[in-house]
Amino acid sequence: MLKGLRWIIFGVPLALALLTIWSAKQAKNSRIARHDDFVIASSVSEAVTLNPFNAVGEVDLELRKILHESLIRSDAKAGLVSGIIEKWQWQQTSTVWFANSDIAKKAEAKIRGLTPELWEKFSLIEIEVKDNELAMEFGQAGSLGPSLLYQHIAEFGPLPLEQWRVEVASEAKHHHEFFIQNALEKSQVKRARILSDQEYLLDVSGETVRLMEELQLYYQNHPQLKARIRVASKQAMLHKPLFQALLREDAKFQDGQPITVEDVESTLRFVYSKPWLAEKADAWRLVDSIQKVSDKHFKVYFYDVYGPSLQLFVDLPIIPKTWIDQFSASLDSGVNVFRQNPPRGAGKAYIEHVGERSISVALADEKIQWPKRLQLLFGQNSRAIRTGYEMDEIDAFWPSSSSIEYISKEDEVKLSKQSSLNRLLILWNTRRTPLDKVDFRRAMGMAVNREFLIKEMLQGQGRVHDGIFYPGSWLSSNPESEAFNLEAARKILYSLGWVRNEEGYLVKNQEVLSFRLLTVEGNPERSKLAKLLEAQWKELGVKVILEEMPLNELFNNRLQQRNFDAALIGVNFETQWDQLALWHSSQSVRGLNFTSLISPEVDAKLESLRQEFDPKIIQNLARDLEKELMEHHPFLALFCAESTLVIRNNLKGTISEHATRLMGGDR
Amino acid sequence: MKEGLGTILRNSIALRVWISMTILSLLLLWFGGGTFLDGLKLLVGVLAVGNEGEGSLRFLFWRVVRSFFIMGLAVMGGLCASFALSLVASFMGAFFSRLARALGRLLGYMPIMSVCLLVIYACIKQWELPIESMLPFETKSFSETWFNKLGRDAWGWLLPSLLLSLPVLGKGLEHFGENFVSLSKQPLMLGLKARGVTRTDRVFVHTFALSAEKMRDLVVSLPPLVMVSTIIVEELLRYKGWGEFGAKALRAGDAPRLAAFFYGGAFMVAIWLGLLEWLERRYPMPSQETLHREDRDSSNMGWGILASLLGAAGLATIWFWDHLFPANSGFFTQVSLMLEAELLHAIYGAFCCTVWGVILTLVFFLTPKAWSEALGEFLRVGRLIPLFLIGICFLWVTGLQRPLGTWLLSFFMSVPAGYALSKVVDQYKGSLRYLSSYGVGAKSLPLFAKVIWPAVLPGVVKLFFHALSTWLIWQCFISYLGKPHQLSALLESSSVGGLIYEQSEVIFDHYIHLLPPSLMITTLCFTALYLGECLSEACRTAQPNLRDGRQKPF
Repeated sequence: MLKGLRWIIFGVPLALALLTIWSAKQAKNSRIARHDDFVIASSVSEAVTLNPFNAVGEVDLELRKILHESLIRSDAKAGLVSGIIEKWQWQQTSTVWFANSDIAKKAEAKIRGLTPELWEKFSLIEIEVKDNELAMEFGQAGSLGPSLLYQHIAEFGPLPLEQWRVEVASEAKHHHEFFIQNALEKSQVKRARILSDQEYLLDVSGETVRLMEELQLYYQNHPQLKARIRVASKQAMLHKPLFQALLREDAKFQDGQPITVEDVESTLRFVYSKPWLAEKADAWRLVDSIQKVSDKHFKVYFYDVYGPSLQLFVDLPIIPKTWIDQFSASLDSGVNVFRQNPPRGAGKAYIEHVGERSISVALADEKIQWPKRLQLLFGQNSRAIRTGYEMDEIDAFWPSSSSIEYISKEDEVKLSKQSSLNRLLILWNTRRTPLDKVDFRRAMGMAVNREFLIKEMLQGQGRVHDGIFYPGSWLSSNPESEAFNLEAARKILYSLGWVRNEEGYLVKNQEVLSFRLLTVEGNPERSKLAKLLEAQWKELGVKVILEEMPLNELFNNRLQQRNFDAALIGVNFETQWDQLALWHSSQSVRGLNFTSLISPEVDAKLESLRQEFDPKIIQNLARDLEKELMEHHPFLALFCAESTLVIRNNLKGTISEHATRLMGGDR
Repeated sequence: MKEGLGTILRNSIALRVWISMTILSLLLLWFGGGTFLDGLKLLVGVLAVGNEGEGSLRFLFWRVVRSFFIMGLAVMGGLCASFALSLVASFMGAFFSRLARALGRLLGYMPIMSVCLLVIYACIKQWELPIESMLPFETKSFSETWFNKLGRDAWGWLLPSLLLSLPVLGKGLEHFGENFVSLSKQPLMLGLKARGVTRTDRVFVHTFALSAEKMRDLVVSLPPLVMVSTIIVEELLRYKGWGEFGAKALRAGDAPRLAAFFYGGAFMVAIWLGLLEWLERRYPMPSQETLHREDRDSSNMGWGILASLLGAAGLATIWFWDHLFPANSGFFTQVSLMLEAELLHAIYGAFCCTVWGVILTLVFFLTPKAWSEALGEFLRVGRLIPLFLIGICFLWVTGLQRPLGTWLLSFFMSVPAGYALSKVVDQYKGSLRYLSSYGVGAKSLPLFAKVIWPAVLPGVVKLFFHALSTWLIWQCFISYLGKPHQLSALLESSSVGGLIYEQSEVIFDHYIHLLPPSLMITTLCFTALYLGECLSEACRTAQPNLRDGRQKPF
């Protein structure tokens, strides 16, 4: 037996060596043979929802871009551009009421007698009299036309319009309908708007005193409702803005079905009945009705003049009505049908297969030769992703921060950087001394080395962006960031009377310059950042007292009460242009303007933005607002994280421009 | 022939090991928050662990089979290759034999994770070879022949086997390297030569027969090393086996998964030892009585000096690198600080081990016969002690949620140290008989101090340095596997294993960073082993040779 051992002892290693060489050769051949798909991998373990209206992660965001087309698209350079909607227009109907029909007719005659130049100046398109009501149609919404025209008919004594707010304990709609059915003065109610189950608005004109008595009597008979009626506002006319749009003739879903007005209406009603797009909820509450004119033409009537209503249609994907009808109920019951049965979108690609950790997306554009398919892998081990990339199995991925420097040196690689929506900033209380001085706040900002903070906190994967709008968005003015300059900061403070004492602190009137910096507790990263800031300001000579507290206390007791000097918080960049709630002086005492900034210039721009419907003017106004706001230094923007997508630019000699563009490489 | 359970237990190390490891896995489960019922479920294989669904045994079975297959292949390949290489080296002369031994030591003490990572890097970046197991997904569509597919699949399990065989090869070379030279000089072999037995028969029949015991010892001692290597290799290559499951469990610090993993390991070791027992029964080992075993490590002075120079040069390079090349400063300073800390830990640990070992030896020496017999039994499983120690470490860290400190480690390490030292004493049994014949009362403290202690001193010295190198390499494994769920409070701040773990994430960016810490650990282990042998030799020369009884002790 032992004699046979020689064959085993020498044979086994030799056989294994030969087998290894052969198998390695076969494996190498198979590696060369692979092609066709473009593979994107992510280590993010969060579930990909595939919900285009509520994208939770980067994979969701990227998929939305290629699977869906929006009604109106926002473009960093061109502003708002047509998507599924080819053309859109804002109009406005303004209505006034007179004492009787004769007076109304006289007013009509007066207007018709105006010169065509004046009609053009007022953007007036048509007028119509119906009984004592005079309806005027304007070619623009939110313009000065109605006010100017009003002056011409004022001599006929148009009746004022009052808006009543009725608050009840419950069943507001039911009680309103019952009252209107039986009220004697119901003709005075020109429009009703149910806000919630406890609240509604009435626009009334005419014999309002009698109507009020009748309404009060009705609710006196229902004491359990604890009704409260008050006059909310008075105005000259009832304005009703109208958005009308034409869909592209060739707009269709990936299965070839044309996109119709029904799809648009269903999507709008479906999306805004859910809590996904909370930032647009205010605009949706102003929608009165949606009217179909033809398969490709629709109108949306609004209750009030509110420029940001346009936001409802911006970057909003459209999905088929049939899908919504079929799956909306399942979604309400908690099932994510977006993943189980993804709807067909109107984008360049459609979903072929959804696996537990992978999604296969086929590209519909026949002009694209390569790739024909995108594969998304998520929740993968980061080492496996990198290995896959090195083995040419993966074409795009998000590398770790330490690898970016090395990967960027490779020839066949393109990097696409994407800022996170969230950023960290320090809110200043502009009512507190010495933070009430703009120069002082500026000096505080100049003394912070934000690049250093990015290096320390994010391993360099972040950026400084001083504006309020998302960097690179169509609203952003992309303001230049103030550079770190400790000496300049010292000079500013010196000019404000602060001089250094022996301990190195700045003093004025024998008082050491200090302020409290609030931050949330239980967040080690925030604590670390606060300490770094403290150290940097100490270098300047400022004594910072750090105070950590629970999030609730920070917001409810300190920020809401304006009981703070400075607060380190994380907030999202703004993507909507209505910023009134955050920065208007009317919000400085009780609202969300925690910095208590009061600036007439800022207020004027905020108000204009609420009235403006023209995208070009909106863009300019938003950028002006951002610049104006930054001049007041109400906050110090620290940084936002940046994720870097590595895209193989040249796979086996083929430049994948399409894939790069599809994956947002040109962003 | 009827055998009682007690007899079976006494005769079968495999069964004893299986029972011990199963008990440990149950303790792990219970201390980790599991119920009694969970323990029963684990035993019958229906305990749901991790995300792997109902029935731990079902999926663990296939994982164990996959791992056992590559481990078997690696052990077989590694042992055969080391045997063959040692033989070839012995034909070439004593120098080549010692060279083979030195190479074996280098291979055996190279951190397997570094080797694995470098192979991954070389395969993918240099040789353009895919490592299929690292991608848990079929990404790109392509067509291939069955021949191609067969080769690709074979490559999937051959690569981990190949990597696992490296430490086995190293240990084999270390074991057999010099053994063949001394064997060829044995009177028995010379006699065979004189009787005209062919060289082939001398080598493959007689040399193998005479090396069988040494090989048995080696195979018995391999499970801890191979199994830890399996965890590391499978995790790095994402090979879906028992080791990968264990690595995930370990990094998550999940007690039920660890218990299942350990339970799966119990089966593997039991089968391993069971096979060995079966082989021993089927092919009984030849008697060793005729053999004059020379335990001295002769002619190692040159290698010792060389190893010392190598170690000193390596340390000096690491220490002074940043001063010489300040442009790249930082990394080498970090490595040198880590090495400094780890070396201090290792010296301290090795010292503790040695002290514990001496105490244990003394206790066993002075205790009655029954204890000595127990010691004999203990010696039979002593080489598997590290396996139990790993289990106890898991239990301590995961089950009891306590950090693993130096003191605890040194306590654990004392057991194999005691075993090693006891073995030295065991070798001097002949001298005890000799002393008894002179009427000196056996097993007294003065006898130990005057006779036994000087005799075992070389062994103690050797033990210290052996423990030092073992400590260094195992410290490296523990701190590597301990990330990010820290196994040890002692090692958490900075450690070579931790550094290798961090570098594994960026292997494609700067693989070169792996080399300094890994090579230094290997060099330090290498140096310690040769230094220990040299010093041991130096101690030995002053002592009387008690073995052959030709000299009087007094």
